[in-house]
Amino acid sequence: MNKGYTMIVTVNGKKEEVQDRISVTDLLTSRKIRAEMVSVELNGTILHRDTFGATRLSDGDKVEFIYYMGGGSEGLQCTVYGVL
Amino acid sequence: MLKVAKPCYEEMIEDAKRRLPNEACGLLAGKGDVADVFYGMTNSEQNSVSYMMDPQEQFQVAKEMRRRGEAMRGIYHSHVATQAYPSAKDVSLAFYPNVHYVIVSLEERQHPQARAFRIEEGSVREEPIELV
Repeated sequence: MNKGYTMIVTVNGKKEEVQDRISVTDLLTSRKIRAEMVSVELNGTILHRDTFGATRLSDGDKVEFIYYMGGGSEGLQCTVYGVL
Repeated sequence: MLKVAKPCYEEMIEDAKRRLPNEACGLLAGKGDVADVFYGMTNSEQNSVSYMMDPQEQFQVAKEMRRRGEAMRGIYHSHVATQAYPSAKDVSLAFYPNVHYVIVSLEERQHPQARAFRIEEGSVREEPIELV
């Protein structure tokens, strides 16, 4: 690992200096983000979560990550009707 | 408090009705502290008791917001037959503590009710919606 070297990547639209050849997993970990919470796009392609660890970034890459947005009334129905 | 422009609010309510019997979902955005732009999103689960936004669409809209200088102000979805209050699933999948989660209840079809919440680390706090 070239710990002393850095590169510039664009993360969610902002240029940032990161460790050279950092993996997607390490990039997320450095931001205290759990991989199972987010979708990640690298240079316009959505990555499968299983590849986060093996995918290493290169200088000039564009990375986007976004948290899952989901839910629904399913649990609420159980709560509401379960006591009737 | 969540400030929402009236046209944006009405668009959200209409979106929830239009997508019955499934739950609807979308995003509220704005350049200032008022949410005045509505983005209807695809419920990839196409389900009446759950929703999940499509990641590809999420990325597209996030970039569009950035291009237009907007910030995400609200994450909305509908409950088609229950009250406008976060379910356990809503709480467990709430990863944006600084954004309002808006739930539109269609329990009473003629009188949809929207309520806004902040959800942080499992804690739910309701905040008023002000129409402007």
